[in-house]
Amino acid sequence: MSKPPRQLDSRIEIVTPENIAFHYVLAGPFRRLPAFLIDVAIRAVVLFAIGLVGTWLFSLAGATGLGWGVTLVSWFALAWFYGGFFETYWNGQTPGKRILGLRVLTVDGQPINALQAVLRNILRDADSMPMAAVGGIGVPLYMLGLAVMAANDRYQRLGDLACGTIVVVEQRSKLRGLASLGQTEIARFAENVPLNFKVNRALGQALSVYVARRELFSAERRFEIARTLAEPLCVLLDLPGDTNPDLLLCALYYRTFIADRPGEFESLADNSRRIEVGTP
Amino acid sequence: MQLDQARIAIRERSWLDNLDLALQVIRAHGAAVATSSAVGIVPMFLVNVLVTKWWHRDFEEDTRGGYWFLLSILVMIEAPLATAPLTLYLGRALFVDKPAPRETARDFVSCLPQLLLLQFFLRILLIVPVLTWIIPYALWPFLNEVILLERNPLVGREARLSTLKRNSSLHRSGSGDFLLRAIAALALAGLLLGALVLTQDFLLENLFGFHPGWNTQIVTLQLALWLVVIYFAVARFLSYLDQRIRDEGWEVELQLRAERERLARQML
Repeated sequence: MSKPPRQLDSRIEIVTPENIAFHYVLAGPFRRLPAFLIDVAIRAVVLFAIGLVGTWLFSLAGATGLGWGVTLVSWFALAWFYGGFFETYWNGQTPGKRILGLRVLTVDGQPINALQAVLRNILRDADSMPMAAVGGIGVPLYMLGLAVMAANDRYQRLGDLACGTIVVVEQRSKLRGLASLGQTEIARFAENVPLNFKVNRALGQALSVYVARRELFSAERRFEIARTLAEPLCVLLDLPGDTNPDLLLCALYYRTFIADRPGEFESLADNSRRIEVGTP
Repeated sequence: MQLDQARIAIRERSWLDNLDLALQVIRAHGAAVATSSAVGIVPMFLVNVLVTKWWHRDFEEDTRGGYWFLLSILVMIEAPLATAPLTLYLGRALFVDKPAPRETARDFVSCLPQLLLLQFFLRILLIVPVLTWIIPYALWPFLNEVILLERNPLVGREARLSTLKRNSSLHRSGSGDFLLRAIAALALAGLLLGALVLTQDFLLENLFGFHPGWNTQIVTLQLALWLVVIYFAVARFLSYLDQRIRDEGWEVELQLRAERERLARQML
């Protein structure tokens, strides 16, 4: 058997000291951009509010200059410690990252500590180089950060490299629920499956993925994909070779996930995702 | 199609993930991406320098706005042809370690009539009434990939799909998504272009002490524009791949195939 080639992907595997492997999807510069923009917007709104209220309150007391001072100190604190503060107390997330399901972890998959959170955010200034003067205002171009992220496999910017951190996409599994089977043909065919045949976890997962997605494919394509797994299953279950592969996979799904749960099946009867078995 | 032998992991990805992955693809295939891009872009680059030089000579005063407009129109027309060798290379590099340049060149020549007809002359016609710009970018974003990688005849014969039919079936399901993506891509491309132009100026001034004048900028601005086009051509190829993965269930097929192998081992 030929060895599969090295594949380009943004998914990585991290093995913990307990020898448990976790898979993470890495967030690169473009995946992080919306979260960054949300954080910039939050900081701008907070700073604007502090500036407005601060200067108004202090001007009432006849100390307008002090109001500006408070605004400048707030700007400094927000610019340097907003990210560090939230990533420390929200376990690697800022409001922007939390909204978009991103999290900062160490390269070993562990939660980051306060030092890492603060340092990686302070080093953002290095990533934002070069600065260009546009209309007399210094604008960070972030090209150094982009170049560094493009140059390594884990999309780490300078701040991440210095602190040993990565940004990952939090995988929230979608609970789709069971697909309902609308045709008695499937239930009848399921009786052909030997009672002693047990669907293990891996096969159950493959069947679920197929049944959840099959409606999106044409009948020909459905047949083609299902045949991949149906051929060895026919041999294993002693079924005729010309068995409809789509019907077989649906029947196995029915046997595994629905037949033993009549109550749930009834409640799913009105579900719009009904399975119709077709031939190409 | 040996999906498990693909050099890019077959997995459904979001558009932003594809933009990130494009950086990895460019890094992994750096030399080949540069060469195949240069083959398509250098002739267009020279044509544009000549055309914009002429523009600049006739309009001496404050011609930057006009220059940008003219250059953008030229690049919009030229981009599909200029990035065709790159797209052909990426299509082959998905399954082969080192695609042969001769085969890529042969594919390019065989696709040239359709490219010229649908992506050059038709695009010129669509660019004249400004509102129709939306068609090639938002409604048919993968037309280049359909022409170059599917290689269907222009007109369907017997049971074989034609380029136009395949193009329409590929784009039918996601025109709303494509429109939003086109708008987002335009915004991102603008940001990237601005950052690249300003970085070029920064590097020239600070590393070489050279203040770029208008004559230099005619070259550097175009260079930045083509770099953005190359990047988005790679990202578009990955998005096309993602579209095929979703439409045809490549990821599902891979999962069933892995299970088939496990069952086969169990039966032995």
